Amino acid sequence: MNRKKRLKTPSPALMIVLTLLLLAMAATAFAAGAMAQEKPKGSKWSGTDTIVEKFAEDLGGIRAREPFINTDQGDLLLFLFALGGFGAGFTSGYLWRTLFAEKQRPVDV
Amino acid sequence: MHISEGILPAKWAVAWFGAAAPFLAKGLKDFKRRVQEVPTFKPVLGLMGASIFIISMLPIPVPIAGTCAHPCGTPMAAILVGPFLSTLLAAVSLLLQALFFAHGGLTTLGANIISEGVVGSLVGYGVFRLLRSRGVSLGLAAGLAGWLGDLAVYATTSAELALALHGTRPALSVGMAIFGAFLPAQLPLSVLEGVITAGMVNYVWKHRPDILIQLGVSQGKTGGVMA
Repeated sequence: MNRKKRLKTPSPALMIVLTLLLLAMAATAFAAGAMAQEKPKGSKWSGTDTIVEKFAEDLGGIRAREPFINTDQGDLLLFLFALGGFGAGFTSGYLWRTLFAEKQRPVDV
Repeated sequence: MHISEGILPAKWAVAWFGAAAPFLAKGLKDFKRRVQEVPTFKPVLGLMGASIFIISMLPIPVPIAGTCAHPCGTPMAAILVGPFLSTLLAAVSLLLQALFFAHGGLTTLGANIISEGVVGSLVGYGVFRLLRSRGVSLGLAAGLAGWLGDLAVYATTSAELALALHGTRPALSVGMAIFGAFLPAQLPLSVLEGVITAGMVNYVWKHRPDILIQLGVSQGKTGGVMA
């Protein structure tokens, strides 16, 4: 019994698209890296949003304003992140179960 | 990519809200139509909404960059529910994040909707459809859509900041510098976004192909894209 699967050769068009994408990506990364000599450094494990804020401060002297509802106080933000994660996780799990786990009944027309 | 409160000058903040408005209006229109047309649309939409909310707020540490960054989720949602509804979901998610999670801002909401919602969705959707029409497999097309969609979001954020803040320096140079600062963390995460997108689309295809057919993502056994 021949259990070997024949590998499909990717089409030339796909190979060209992938090669172009990789070249474009490499060129962008090289150019951006070269032009990012003045990039501001954030603290260890700071988010990329902090990078944005530092750029805004360096370029235009603009500092981020306090949010209209400032939840970044003590453990309040931690609580909200936990609550938000729980709510979104619960919703995702419930809908995932609805879509993929429950037995599908034929639709009555 | 969330631009924080007060970073953009007022004229740019208003301009980005104006630019985002037509996409949101089309999303609302699509919502009413597709909920009636597709029986499984509501749960898929809810799942995508919750996914965008979680994914776009999840700070993932990137050891090679020493910073945290997050994927976007909009390319994946755009493939499944369409680019305009994906934009609408991103807008709701960004609004909640700005209001209660000190993530982004209300004045910068329009700019954030354009980058994460509009550009992430349109690039992800466009790349997926283009590659599928050229016969590329479902998983590979979704993966590349997620990868490029993610990078497009960060390129757009860089452009938005550069346009508003370049001052006397060339906007292109400033934009490239900002994008360059994003890249060390975002290049690996964009690959992760591609993997998540490909994984999700492949999972749905494997377990509920009828959903992809109903949503117009695939035509059936061949997995072809509907015209």
